[in-house]
Order: sequence, then structure tokens, then C-alpha cells
Amino acid sequence: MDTLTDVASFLYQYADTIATLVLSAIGLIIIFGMMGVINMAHGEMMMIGAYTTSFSYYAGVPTPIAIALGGLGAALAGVVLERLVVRRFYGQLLSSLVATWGVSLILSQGALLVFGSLIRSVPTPFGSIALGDVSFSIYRLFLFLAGLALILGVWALLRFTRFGLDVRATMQDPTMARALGVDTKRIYAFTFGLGTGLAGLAGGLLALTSTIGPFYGQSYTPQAFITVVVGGGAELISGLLASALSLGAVKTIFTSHYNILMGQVAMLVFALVVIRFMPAGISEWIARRRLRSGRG
Amino acid sequence: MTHFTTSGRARRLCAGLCLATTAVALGAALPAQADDGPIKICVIDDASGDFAPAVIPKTMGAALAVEQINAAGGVLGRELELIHYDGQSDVRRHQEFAQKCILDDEANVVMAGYTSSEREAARAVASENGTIFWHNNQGEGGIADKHSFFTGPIPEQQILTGIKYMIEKYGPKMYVLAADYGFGQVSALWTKAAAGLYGGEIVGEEFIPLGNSEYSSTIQNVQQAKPDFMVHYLVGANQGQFYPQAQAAGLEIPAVSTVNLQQGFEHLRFSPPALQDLYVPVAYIEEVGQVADSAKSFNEAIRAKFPDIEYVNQPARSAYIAVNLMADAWEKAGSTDTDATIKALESGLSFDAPEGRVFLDPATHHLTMDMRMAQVQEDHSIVFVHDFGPIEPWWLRKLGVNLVRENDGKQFLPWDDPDFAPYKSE
Repeated sequence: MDTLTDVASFLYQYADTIATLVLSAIGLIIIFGMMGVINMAHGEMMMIGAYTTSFSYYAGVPTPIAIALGGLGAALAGVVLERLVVRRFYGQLLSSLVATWGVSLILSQGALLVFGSLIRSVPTPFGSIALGDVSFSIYRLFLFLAGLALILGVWALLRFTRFGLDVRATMQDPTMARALGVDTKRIYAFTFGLGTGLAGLAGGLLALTSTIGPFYGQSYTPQAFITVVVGGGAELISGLLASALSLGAVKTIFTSHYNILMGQVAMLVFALVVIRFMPAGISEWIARRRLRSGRG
Repeated sequence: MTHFTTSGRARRLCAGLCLATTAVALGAALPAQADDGPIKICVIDDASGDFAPAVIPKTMGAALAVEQINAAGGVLGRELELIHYDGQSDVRRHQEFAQKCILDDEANVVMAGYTSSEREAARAVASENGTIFWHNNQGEGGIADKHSFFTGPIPEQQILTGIKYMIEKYGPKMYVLAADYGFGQVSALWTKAAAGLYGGEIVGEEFIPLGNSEYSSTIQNVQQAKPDFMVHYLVGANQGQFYPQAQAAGLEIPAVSTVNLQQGFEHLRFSPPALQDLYVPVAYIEEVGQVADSAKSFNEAIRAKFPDIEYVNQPARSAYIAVNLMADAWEKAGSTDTDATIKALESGLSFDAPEGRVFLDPATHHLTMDMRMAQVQEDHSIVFVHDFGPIEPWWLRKLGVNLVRENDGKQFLPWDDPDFAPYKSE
């Protein structure tokens, strides 16, 4: 019985870690992988999602719709951000990094000025289930499923829709795509909006178990960046999955055997080793293997 | 020419004070002796970053005191001027701004630091330059230094009392969750001493990195250890995330904390009943207004001046006391000369604080203050379940510290006390 509890407890923590990694990274990896832009304002997009969710919830909107509005709000913010700032820096990795970092500072400090240092948090739904000595939050398990569903959704969107085809064409060869009649400007704006919208949705989902303040997103950005760097931009979906699964395993094992600090340290060391041997991330390694086996 | 940084709520703080500051600035433009200008109180408070929610009310407490004192004619015929810098929840900023306060602004006193690490960064600069320093937060105690003064509760007022109360009420087994830095580490040592003194047993101890916001492993560790109660030294908005996550996971074990609630007002931020049965030994929280008229009028005064203050927390009260004690000391000394002022501060000052009368202990530079045990109810209202009465800062005196005679210039830890040493290895 005790072993069963231990196993369940470990799996729960593993799922919980994966969920947080996937949710915090999914918006970032889309923007980085598809557009080659490092969006330093990623945390602020999550913050916008969380704020919209909280405000909607306390305005009487049902929770699921409030979360969806969080995603929508961040998507709109992303489209505006792309049109005003980001589009001027395509192909200039470092400039886009600095520019979006500036946006990040403006948004978080702006939220602090306008809304104060904290806003009301949204209650966590669903309650908990007990197993032996330990109990699990059902909502945290739901977050794991939500993370998987988002990955699946993005994959389907890129794979099966016309929009997905246009996006992939634009990313592969923008000039050729334009020649074939794809409105690449719109595609860029939409892709960026898709990325920030996913960040907002994740922000809204995670907001139900968090304190919400102007610097809300910044507690998720470090692990989001690590996940993206380890995953790499060559194959979005498999890269993100492989990255979250491996980082999550390392973090969970070290956290449960030692402590939270060791979990964080182990995750960073693992990321360092991966980047040393696969500088472009796990996904590039996957892509190369595919090419070699002739399926690419 | 105001000295307010414009970030965060500081701007709004400014609204009330800018007139006074402008008047002072105009006065300063006239040829005048340095001693005729305003008396400068430099505060470095985190108006942004992880600690901002808890610290913003603190600046407001200082500003209220300055306004009231100026309205009553100032000190020694001079105005008080409040200079505020945003420490940005960053240790380095505290060090830089402490230098700016002392070297550029030539402040007469520096009040800085939320966390112990911020405090030490600023305090080092102040003592190097021989400037009077105040820390207006609860803390891990033990500092014996001629230039340093403290208004917040310390372990003999919070930890020993709180742990004893919890052991008597719930049983001996406790699980300690502490922020992984100076304050949390030293508080955990004090908890060991308290457990040893009062027959408690520590069944688990976890140090959590500052800024950590994921708690599923911690929650399950606590559940598997089956303690009678938890001890929380969780610091900052991110560590506060423990509460909603613990509630969602169904963790229902009472807890005692020396930092939560009284600074970050988690009971108002999180949906009930996430904080039910959290016990906090406090000198002050806004709810003390339910039991003390002086607290009620303090709450009204600060809310009248700062209508958007989120919560009148303990740091707001502590900063208010510090400014008032400094004003009394300058009056008593008849000048702002540092040595004369310290002498006045060591002359047995007392002050009618919001929660009751406090007494500045000359020997240790800490306060004797009324302590109460607050318990969070299911609906997150507060009931004061026990009145500890006035508690003296007795521990440093027990170790022989007497700053009036001798400047130790160091921080004592629990194991410096031979009576606690046997519990070191527990």
C-alpha cells in the first residue's frame, strides 16, 4: 500500500511538473520555433492572460470562459505587439530580444502602476482526492491533460488546416510563399498572436492555483526558456514533448529524493549537458535522425 | 525636485507629500545653514518585485508619520523630509540606494530592507558611514549594533511564544517550511530551540528557494510526515503560492507563521478557506482594530491618507513607530547629531503605538511590545485567540548584550545561548 502511494505520489508530481513546463513554454516555443524571435515579454503575456481571467471571473463570467478570454486577450495583445514592435526586428535575434525585453518591463511596471501589486486570485476548482496518506489536487491533474490537449491542438492546427499550411510555408520560405499568394504579413501577426494567446491561456489556467500580480509570469519564464532551449526549434511538438518529459523527470526525481533546490539545480545541469551535446536542442537531433532514416 | 522615485505606488504616495516636499525644496533654495534645512529620513522599500505587496504599506506608514509630525510643527523647528527609493526586491539596489541616501542625500537616518539579506546589504553601508539605521520588519533577531534599531517582533516575541502555543493546542509534532536564506535558516534554528524547550518534535524540515512557486512535492512530504502542525517561514508573493496549492491538494493541517498574513495579507488575497487555522503571533495587523481603539484610529488615519492601501500590515505600523521614535529622539537630543541622537534613543523612549504602548529597550535597540495570537477562521476573518501581553526583547540581554556600554557589532545566533545549545542536534 505504501509503495502504491509512493508510486502514485511520484507520478502525480511528475505530471504536475510536466504540466507546468508545457504550459509555460508552449507559447514561447511557437514564437521561437516558427519565427526565430525570442519573446522576452512572454511572462507578461501570461500575466495578461491571468489578469483577464481574474477580472472576468469576478465580473461573473464562468471560469472556463474566463480562462478562454485570458487566451484571447493575450492573443490580441500579441497581434498589436507584433504590428507595432516585433515586425521591425525580424531576422535580428538580439535586437528582438532587447525590444521585447523593453516591452516586458513596460507591461509589468505598467500593470503595477495601474492595478497595484496584487489582484484577487481565482479559487481552484474540483477539490482533491485522497490516496493513503497523501491527497492530490484534481485541478493540477486537469492541468496535465490541458497541457497535452494544447500540444495536440497546436499540432493539428499546423498539420491539417490551411492556416497551418500557410504558416509552415511562410516559415520555410517567405519569398516563395508570398509569390504563391500567401499574405505573409498576416501570417506573421497571426503566428505571433497564436504564441501569445497560448501563453495567455496557460497564464489563465495556472492563475487558478496562483497569486496574481504584475510579475506573475516572471516566475514561469525561466523554466519556459529552459524548456524551449532544450527542446530547440527544429521540430516544435516533438521537441517540446521530449524537453518537458526529460526535464520533468530530472526535476521530479531530484526534488522528491533531495529537495526543491536540488530539483532546480539538477534541471539546470541537465539542460547544460543537453545543450553541450545537442546545441540546437533535442528536436534538431530528432530531425537529423529522421533525415538519416529517410523519412524527412 | 522631489526625491521620490516614480516607480510603483511611490507615485501615489507622492501625491500626499509632494506639496510638503516642494515647500521644503523652495526653502532649501534660499541660502541657509545645513542645520536649517529639512531633517532627512531615507527609506528604501520594495515598491516593485516579489516583496512589493508586503512592503508598499510600509512606505505609507512612514509617510503618515512624517505628515503628522510636520503638521504638528516638525522637529526642532525643522520639517521632516521623506526620501523614498524603490529597492525593487533586489539586494544590490538596497546597497546602492543606501549609499545614495547617505552620500548624496546626506540623510539623517536610513530605514531599509524587507528581507534579512536586503537589510544586511543596506545596514552594512549605514554602519560603515556611522549613520543610524532602522529595520522596520519582523526578523530573525540577534543583531546587537550601536547604530541599528528594530521595530518588528523577533524570535522571543514570535517563535518561542508561537511554537509553545501550538504544541499545547495541537501536539508536539511539527513540520517546518522555511525560505532558504538568512531569515528562514535562522528562524528554523529558533524553531529547533523552541521545540526542545517546550517538548516538541520536528518531524520534517524543508528549505524552499525564494521565488519558488511549485509546491506539489512539499505538500505530499508534509502529508506523509503527519505532523500535528506546520511552521511556515514563507517569504514573498511566490512562496505565498503554497496556500492555494495546499488547499487544492486537500492539505488540512493547522500552521503557525511569523511572516505570513501580517505582511502579505494572504487571507485577503486567497479565496477562503485556503488559510483556515493559520496562527500568527502579531504585534500588529489591521484586524487589531477589532480589539484596540488606538489601532482603529491608526487604520482610519492611514486609509484617509492612502485610500488605495491594500492592507494595514505590520510593517506599516513598524515604520510609523520608527519615524515617531526618531522624531522624539531628535527633540530630546536637541540636535540631529548622530551620537547625541543615539544617546537619546537609549534614554528609555516609549511611544503609543497603534497596538499599545511600546518601549525602546536601551540595551538591545529592540522594542517591548504587546503580542497577540491571531487565528484565521474558515471565512478568513481573524479572531485573536490569545493575548501574550507585553513581551520584552529579553534574549540579547540574557546573553549579556548592553549596547549602552558596549557595541558588539554582530549578530547572535540561537546556539550562542548555552541554554539552547543542547537542542542543536534535535
